[in-house]
Amino acid sequence: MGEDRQSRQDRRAGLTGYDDQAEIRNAVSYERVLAAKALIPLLMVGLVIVIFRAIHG
Amino acid sequence: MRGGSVAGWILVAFVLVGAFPLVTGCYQYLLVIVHFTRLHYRKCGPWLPRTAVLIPAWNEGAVIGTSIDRLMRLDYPRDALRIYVVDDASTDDTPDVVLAKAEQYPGSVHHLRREHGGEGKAATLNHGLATIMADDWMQALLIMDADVVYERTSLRAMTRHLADPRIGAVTGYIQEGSRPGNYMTRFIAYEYVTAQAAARRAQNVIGALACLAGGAQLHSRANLAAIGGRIDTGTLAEDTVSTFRTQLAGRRVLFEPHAKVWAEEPGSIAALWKQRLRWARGNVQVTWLFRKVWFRPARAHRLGSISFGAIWFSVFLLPVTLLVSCAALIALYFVDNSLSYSAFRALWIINVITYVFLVSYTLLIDPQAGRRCWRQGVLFPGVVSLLIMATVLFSVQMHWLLRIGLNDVGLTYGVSARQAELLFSYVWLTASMGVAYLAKVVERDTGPGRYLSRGLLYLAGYGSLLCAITLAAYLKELRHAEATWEKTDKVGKIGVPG
Repeated sequence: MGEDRQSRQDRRAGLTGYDDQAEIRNAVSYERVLAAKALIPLLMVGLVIVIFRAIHG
Repeated sequence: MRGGSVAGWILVAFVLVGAFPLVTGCYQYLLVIVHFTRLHYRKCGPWLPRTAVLIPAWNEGAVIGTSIDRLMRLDYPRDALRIYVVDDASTDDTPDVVLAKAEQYPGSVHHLRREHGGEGKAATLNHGLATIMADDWMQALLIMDADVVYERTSLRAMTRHLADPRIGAVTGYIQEGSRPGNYMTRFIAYEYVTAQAAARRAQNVIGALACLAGGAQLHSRANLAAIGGRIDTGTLAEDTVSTFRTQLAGRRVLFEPHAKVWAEEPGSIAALWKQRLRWARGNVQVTWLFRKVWFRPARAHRLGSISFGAIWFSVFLLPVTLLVSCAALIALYFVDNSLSYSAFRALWIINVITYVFLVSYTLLIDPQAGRRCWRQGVLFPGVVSLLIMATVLFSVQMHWLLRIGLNDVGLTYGVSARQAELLFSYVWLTASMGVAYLAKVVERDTGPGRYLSRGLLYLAGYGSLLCAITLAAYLKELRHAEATWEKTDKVGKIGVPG
């Protein structure tokens, strides 16, 4: 977009606690935990199926 | 196969059409699980482009000043941010408020006035776009609503994706922010976790996004130029049209779940109906407008993929699938009673599994929203549907309770009562839309109507209300009813840190 590197760095310097890489690491970590959390609903579905089979054979 | 059962099995197939949206819902949530494998962050850069914020405003005096103040507090370089408020011939103090802010933030806030307004949001946006595109200062454009509140880091969380020139637009995670809110805003809060945090993650995985949220859409300048430098004025869903055109032009559209944006949402059934009817009619128009895109896979975009089409039509055709399923069940009841019960049970077992999976995962996807609206999440399908699910799961126990209840009021649970119960269960998915509509009709601000409508909505379920609105949208479009832009009233109830 035609901007030189120095100008971009100047803009970032004006921000408070700006750490793009740390923010991205946090976001990636959140997404991984979200995937792991899926075990809980999957287990709950398994439980429903077990209950259903126990009742209805 | 027994004689005469061919018709029965065809009807069973129609009954199971009702499972299509349920299976698609589960499929979307399974895609959420693999979202972490398809993140775009590796191609991001710490990119802070010169961003013009475009805000259409008609009589937004109550909220626009606060919104501008909050935008100026964003963690974003002040010299890289300009706010353009397009005042659509407001008759309140919107111009005074914006002009005062322009004085307070010289060079950062601009007031653009339309003397003849009322042509809709897209026309208002185009007025601002013409000014913004006229010079080359702007590198990215953020379109937002006058009342929405961005968290401090949200804008730069979105702009970093534009470092990749293949990305044309980015949207954020809109959350319901009314405080203290009421039962309706909490239903919407839950719905937004499903429709945004979950569904849009799934769409990131597929590689096709259905809609850039109207309150949080960031476009690169190159993308705006590629889609004609204007917002579509021919439909009620200008944001969806921009989203589709961006992808058809060969650029990707991303959902950034960590760019949080808070919005004030309707607090009554009537207000929700007005807002969602506009959206649903817009979706009908978009479905027709892009009729040559569906289920036609292409190299340049993923809008034509089977996955994306299935997701789109599972929502768009939801009332139709419910009507077909219920009609088939009733027909089957008279053709083959025993088969009708088996089909009904199969459909509702899928319903139970979907319900357990979706509700529990939704509450985990956004625990903060989950803590606030878990009751509405649990009651999302409505009390009656929950009772039907319980009856399918615990048939003996539920019928024992029913027998005791009927005996207490001097009635017996005989064959005719059993048949009546079955028929009621068979038609409920359709009837619930009628009950949800009734909740809208009887709604009043005060008195018994207030509690009656709330009670009816809890019985029918919020999902049934959305289905009823979609059905109403079909009818309006079939009748070619006038498409008017009716703004949702906002009073500045957002009570979250911005």
